[in-house]
Amino acid sequence: MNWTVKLFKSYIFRRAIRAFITVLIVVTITFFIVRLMPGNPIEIYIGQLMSQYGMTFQEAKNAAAALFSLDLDAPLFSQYLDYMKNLFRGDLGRSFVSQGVKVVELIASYLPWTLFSVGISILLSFTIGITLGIVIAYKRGGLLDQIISSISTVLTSIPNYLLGIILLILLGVQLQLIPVSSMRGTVSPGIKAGFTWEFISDVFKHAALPILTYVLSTVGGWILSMRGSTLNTLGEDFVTVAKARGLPERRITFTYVGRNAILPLFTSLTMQIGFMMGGSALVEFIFVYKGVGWALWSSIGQRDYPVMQGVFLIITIAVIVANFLADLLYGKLDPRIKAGGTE
Amino acid sequence: MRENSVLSVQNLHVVYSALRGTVKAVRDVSFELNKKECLAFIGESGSGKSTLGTSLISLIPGTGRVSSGKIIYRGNSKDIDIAKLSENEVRKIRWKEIAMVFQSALNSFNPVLRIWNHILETAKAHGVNDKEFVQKKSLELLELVQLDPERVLKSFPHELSGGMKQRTLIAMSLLLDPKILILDEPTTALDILTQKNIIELLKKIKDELELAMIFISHDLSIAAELADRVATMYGGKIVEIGPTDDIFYRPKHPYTKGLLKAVPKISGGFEELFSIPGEPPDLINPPSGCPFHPRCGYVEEVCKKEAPQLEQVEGNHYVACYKWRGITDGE
Repeated sequence: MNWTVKLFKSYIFRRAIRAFITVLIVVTITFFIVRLMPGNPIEIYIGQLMSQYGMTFQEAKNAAAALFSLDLDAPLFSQYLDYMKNLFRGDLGRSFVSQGVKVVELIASYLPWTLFSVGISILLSFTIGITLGIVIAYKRGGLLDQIISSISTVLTSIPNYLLGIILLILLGVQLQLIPVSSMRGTVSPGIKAGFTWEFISDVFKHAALPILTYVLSTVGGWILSMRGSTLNTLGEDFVTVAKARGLPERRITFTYVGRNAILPLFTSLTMQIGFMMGGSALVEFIFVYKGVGWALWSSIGQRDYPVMQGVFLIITIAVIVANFLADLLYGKLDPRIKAGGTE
Repeated sequence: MRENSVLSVQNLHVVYSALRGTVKAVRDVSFELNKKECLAFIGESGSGKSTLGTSLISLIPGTGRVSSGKIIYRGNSKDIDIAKLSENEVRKIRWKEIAMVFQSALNSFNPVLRIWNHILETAKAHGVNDKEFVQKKSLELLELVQLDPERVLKSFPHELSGGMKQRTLIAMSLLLDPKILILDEPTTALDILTQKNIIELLKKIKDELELAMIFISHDLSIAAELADRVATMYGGKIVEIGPTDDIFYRPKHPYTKGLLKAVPKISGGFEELFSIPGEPPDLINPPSGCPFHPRCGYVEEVCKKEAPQLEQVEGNHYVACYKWRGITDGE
């Protein structure tokens, strides 16, 4: 087989093509959907000019057009072609509202905070969830199982933004346990970035409430899924045979029950990454945590199309990359599933 | 306990707790297993034969437990009552002294581990850490069960067929030279040709190796091929036990007779097939007296009142029935 055929048949290549097409479709859909939203940035700006400076509509429109350097009267389709052309050059355009700022730079400054807070949350939530899930599955029907299962059910049914508001009001306002106002933003002003204790502790302090919100709103789901999955695995014959083989209980719990019970949860883990990136809009808004979610929230309010699209694009890519990594990882974890499957 | 026994079960009772009440799955079962002997337990589903098998290595599923009785295992030096051992003590006996092969051929192995890892971890769990020795021994055993040893050791469970998995499990059961091998329906999940191969294999193991076997099956023809002695179980009790020929050619218990008549013959048509009327007994409220009396054609007043004890017919042949003298051999 020569190398071109090999390349076209290779799993990673086929996956990459599929990912690319997915991105194109998502970009296209978001392009049109954001423009179907009522109102547009220029109308909002023109309104501002007219009311603040008493300009006529035509004057305001001319001023706005000069400023925004785009023509919203151009046919939608030619706008779309322009956008795609720029996209392929890696240019996501410039923000309408923060004039002249490139969307790529904007996102680059917001994204690390979201990746940091969401990443830590997923790790924490998943680890706590599977540990508690397996523990209560072993003690099913007991008091601990009943308490943890009930709490999990309640937590899972509260949306994260509501949980965020509850935390804010309860801990910050009613009980005054935490200094909410100094925890706004991603870092305290005036602190130098670097590997210093001061900076790192400050970063964690600011991220604490979003992380707590994400963890509380997702951990219940992990606990309940892991509990169910463990119960299924405990009933498997290979667990009984492992006992008959005289394997120590620890070995059976980790390698036989735990390892097999986690497998089905990996699919949900990757979906979670997408959900949390998207869901971060409301949580980051509540805590004034300036990540991509916050950027998405404020850009929607101002109809800042390029920024909205940029954020959607980032979320899409995050989901696709996470899925891809999960597939590769899954093949390693479960020998029954070989990546590619053609060999 | 007799001199040449390796296992002696005495007045064993096993119960399960259920919502409706206590299920008396094994009731007052006593038997001895001799060295190098193959003892088969036959009976319909729910007769307690599988529960009996799992109780011998304290692996009764769910809520089950031994409520009374003894399971005396004769180890190298002393006799041990398995029913009294702690979980950790019995763990050391499992597989090393008493190995058990289940019917779940398709799902006996951890899907994420290679066969070699299964073998190695089993050896390690019993303090055998010499990797080379384990490898040599497993190659020999896989050869014995007529598999390609190198290939099997490297394989994941899903890469083997059902028959291959069951052979591998049987080979693995011999890894630590157990004194007793319990086989619970080892051929049930397999197709008929594979069944035949496994039976041939078990015969070979029985002839070549020094171990005693307990064979649990509802398949009478397989039991007849393998066993030296056969015990018929009904309603959690042994109702008849004796040498294989006596049980198959001169059965004395009406239930054993019924079971034998229910086996299709290769020469016969379907019209000859017999089925025992009635339903298996409810083990939460077992029938008074003889458990078989509601379905028995020979029933008398005494059968309903008091349970018959095992009585000697001749030699090693015992039957628990008041009417056995009136039951003729054959038809």
